[in-house]
Amino acid sequence: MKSIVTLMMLLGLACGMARADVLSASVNPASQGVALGRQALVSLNWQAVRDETNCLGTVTSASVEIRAGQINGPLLRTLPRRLSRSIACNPTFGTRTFSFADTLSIPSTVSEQALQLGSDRLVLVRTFTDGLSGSSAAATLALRSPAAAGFSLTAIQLQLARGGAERVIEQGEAVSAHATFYYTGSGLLQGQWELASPPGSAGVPLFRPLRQVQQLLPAGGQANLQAPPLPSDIPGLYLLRFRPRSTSPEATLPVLQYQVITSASGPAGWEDILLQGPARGAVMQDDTPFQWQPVAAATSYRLSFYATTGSGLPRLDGGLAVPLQPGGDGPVAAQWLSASQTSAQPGPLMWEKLSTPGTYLWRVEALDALGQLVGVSEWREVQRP
Amino acid sequence: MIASGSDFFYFFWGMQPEAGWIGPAVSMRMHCEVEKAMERKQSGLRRYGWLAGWLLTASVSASASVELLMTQPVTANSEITVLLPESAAANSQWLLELNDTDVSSLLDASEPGKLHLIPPSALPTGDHQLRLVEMTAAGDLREHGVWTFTVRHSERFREAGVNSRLDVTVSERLDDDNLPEPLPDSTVVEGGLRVGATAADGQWRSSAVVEALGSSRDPLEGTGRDGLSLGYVHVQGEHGPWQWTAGDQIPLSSRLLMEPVLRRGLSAGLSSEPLDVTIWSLRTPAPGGGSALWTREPERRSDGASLTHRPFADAPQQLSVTVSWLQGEGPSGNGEFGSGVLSDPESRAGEVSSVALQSWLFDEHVHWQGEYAWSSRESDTDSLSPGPALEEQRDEAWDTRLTWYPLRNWKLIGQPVALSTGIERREVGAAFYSPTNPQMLADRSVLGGYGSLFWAGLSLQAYLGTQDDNVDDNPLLPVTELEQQSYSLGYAPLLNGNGWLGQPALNLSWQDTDQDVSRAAALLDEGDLYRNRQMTASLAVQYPRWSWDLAHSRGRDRSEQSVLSDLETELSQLSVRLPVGQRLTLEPYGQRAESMNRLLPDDDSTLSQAGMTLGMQWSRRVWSSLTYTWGRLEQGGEDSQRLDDVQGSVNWQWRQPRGWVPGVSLNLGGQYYRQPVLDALARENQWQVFAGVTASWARTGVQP
Repeated sequence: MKSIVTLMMLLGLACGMARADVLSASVNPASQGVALGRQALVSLNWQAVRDETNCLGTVTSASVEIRAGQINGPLLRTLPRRLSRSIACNPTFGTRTFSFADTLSIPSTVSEQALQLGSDRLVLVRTFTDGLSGSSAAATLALRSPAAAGFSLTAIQLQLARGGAERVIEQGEAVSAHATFYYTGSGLLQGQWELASPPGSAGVPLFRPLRQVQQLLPAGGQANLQAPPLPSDIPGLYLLRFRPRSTSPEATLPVLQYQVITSASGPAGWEDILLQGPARGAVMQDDTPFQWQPVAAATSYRLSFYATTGSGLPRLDGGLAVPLQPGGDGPVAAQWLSASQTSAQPGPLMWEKLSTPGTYLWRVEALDALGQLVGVSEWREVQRP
Repeated sequence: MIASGSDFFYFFWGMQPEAGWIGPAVSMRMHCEVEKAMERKQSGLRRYGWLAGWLLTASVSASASVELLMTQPVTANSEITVLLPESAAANSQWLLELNDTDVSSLLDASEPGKLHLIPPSALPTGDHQLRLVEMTAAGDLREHGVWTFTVRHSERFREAGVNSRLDVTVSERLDDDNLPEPLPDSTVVEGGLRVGATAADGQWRSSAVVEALGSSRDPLEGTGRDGLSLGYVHVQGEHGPWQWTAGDQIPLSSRLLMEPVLRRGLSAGLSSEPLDVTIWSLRTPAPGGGSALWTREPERRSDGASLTHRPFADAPQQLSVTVSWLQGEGPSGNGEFGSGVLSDPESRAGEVSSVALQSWLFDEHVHWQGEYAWSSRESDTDSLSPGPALEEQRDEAWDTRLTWYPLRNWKLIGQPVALSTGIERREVGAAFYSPTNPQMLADRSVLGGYGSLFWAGLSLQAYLGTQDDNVDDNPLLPVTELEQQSYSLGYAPLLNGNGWLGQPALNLSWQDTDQDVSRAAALLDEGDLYRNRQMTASLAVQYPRWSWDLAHSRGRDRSEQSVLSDLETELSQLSVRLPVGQRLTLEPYGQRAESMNRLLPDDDSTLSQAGMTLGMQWSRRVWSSLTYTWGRLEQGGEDSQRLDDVQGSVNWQWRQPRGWVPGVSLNLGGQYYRQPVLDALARENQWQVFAGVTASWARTGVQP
């Protein structure tokens, strides 16, 4: 009799041990769209429900399986991204729900593999366990063209207007930069430009916000965003980045850096030449007067016209409008003037070179007796009909 | 004459050898060598022979001889005299061009039969080209002479110049508190070097620009970084029609094949009208994060070639044909520090080719450009992933744009009018891929039309376009159609700038995007998918000494399927630049950004930010800067984040660099940074204080 009771107790204990500790698992959102052939950043919220009467304390999911088509479909990739939380069992609660925020980077080739197998979706599967047994949840990623997928930044590229992302600038030189965003779908880009500047950059760079950005991005796939005016008055290292509001604090963001070195002209740089005419965007002819304020140290001025790159209006191929930039290897046309001349007309020789219609950028430079630059104006656009 | 795409090098064009350290007589001793134009081809290519002597006597026109005189010894400011021909038409005007720059306004025509030019600024060393043109009373231009003369740097070199600046700063962190770990060393040495150099003689010419950054600090942002980093390098050489480049460059202008970003590598080519041929081998990732000029690793490199032909020698702009090919392999970017790129590290090998045509037609009233490209991506049978190996993929893309300028010389109420209109068509296959443009959006078909009108300070621009996807009509994928409209109205009247209106520039723009699902699949139903509208108004006013600009934008963004959202946004900003007196500059700004979620009010947020920068020039050698930034984020009606940042520094330039003796500057500064979490008991105040000394060297010129 005793042996039968003992056996029954053992059997009962074994049955109790065989009950699932993680009773169920779920994920939110259960489905979303991702772009075919593009890296996708997917944010998910997983939940696991544990039986508090029979558990070990730590709920873990070691990895994510990416499968084609369905939860039991062909395995395409395993992402070793561990989620874990430890809370001691408390039998007074019937069950306890664990929540895990998860941001996954889905490689671009995975979606192509699924399509090659004839599937129109990826299934992300996580299994949560307490060491005894577990439950799985699955999220579906429907494959779509990049224009129809959910809004997701796939690449951020920072560069200075003069090219590159790591440059040396002379004190007082004008510095401008822009970011190119590559994205899928359409949505709202929220974020801020941040700058770490001297003297702080000599220690721990603490980025301060420069400007907030709140820009609607249509399904163009690429958008250029101009950074606010950047300083170069204090020598030292400057670090510029763009932080999308959706990024986590520990995310590694691309950083553009420029080192400002001392110059003979000092923090003010070259003298600003104030342009008096024509106004921005004016239409010019061969007798249009170009006028500017004089510079005391100048012995001559150079009036230059450059061809332009960029477009002034948002288009489907370039997303947002970008400020015009001078293009080509040098000016299309130029005129050299004495110091007493602060006004000039293009004239026949320049007009001959400005035969192509379109938008040009022009500016004035002041030179001293040695031919050194002592002043420069802003760029201003003009239309050649 | 010396033309370069680099802003720094264009500035370098104006530099002269310092007269001080090599003596005024020696520095300005430049041989005047006479060169005669032997022939001038229809393409405009000129060949030069050699003539000894100091008298320039070249003439290539069919008219009577024209002479150019330059007195001995020739200096950078020597007077140039042109003896005019006797066959000049009555009431004609003489024009002179120096190195493609109109110098007619500098001419002294007081002496009959002669033109005199005294350069108001010193001419740089090297070849110079003069072109004499006669404009008749009827407005016709007749070329009478083209001369080339050389201002030599020395017997050895026609041109030789160096412009270099080096800064080395030692900073000591005197005190700090609450800084995040890991802390760098309290003493940090960092600096920057910028060198530009030119050398030329005979038919060869070389130039170089190198920028390097260095730091003794531990890697920033948790990523690896060399202590010395070659930020920018561009070395260029030419010998006759041959040229080569090593360093950062963009060797191809194709929009389909190559992103317009600098890549580091090697290229060489031949430029001889009407042909340009270039071959290159570049590192596929963008530069930065390292100093390597090139790589042997095929998985990080792209190689290619292009050929451009301009068949009409007399009018090269009438047609140009470019054939390009490239192959590549490797990552498109992996966030290397300094590269500025954060993107998908995975990629595969592939190659792409294209044919591009560009043409100006009908007396430059019509501009047409078109490109057809085809690509192949290799299979990845070597991949270790458990999924199936991807098959080789081939696809194509094409792009064409036609722009018409109907009114070339038209006026309305005495004001010139600029009008243009055009159409564009583009199709990119789903599998189209270029190793040097991996992020280009594929699988789309675009048709768009655009127009612009400029008149009397007014500007009107419009764009309407449609975009379809799933160009291969894959039944597994949905089909969506997107329509976009963009309009812009601007007004920038010409005022004298001194009144209270200053020089204003006003702009209003509106953009509307509508995307629908026309065929359901992949969890999308037919119907509305996405809608967004944005309106922006901006006003910028410039006065003689100060300026301000104000902007306001409103938008609505709705997602109708999958992840539902309905956001309204507003952004307002004001910034001012105000010099006070001769020494103080104030730059305040303010911003307010609101986002309202109509479906989830708890997600509403308001972000306010303001700041001020004060720059003070105490004397010629002492200046200071103080910057304050304030920010506040409200989410769901409650404060969730605040930020205060104050940075200031005082700099004293004790001495300027002179020869090999460095200049010395001293600086003292600090930063206070506070970003408290409002629901925590403790607030974090971070601050750091520094003192530093900078040694700077500057070298300009090369001794003859």
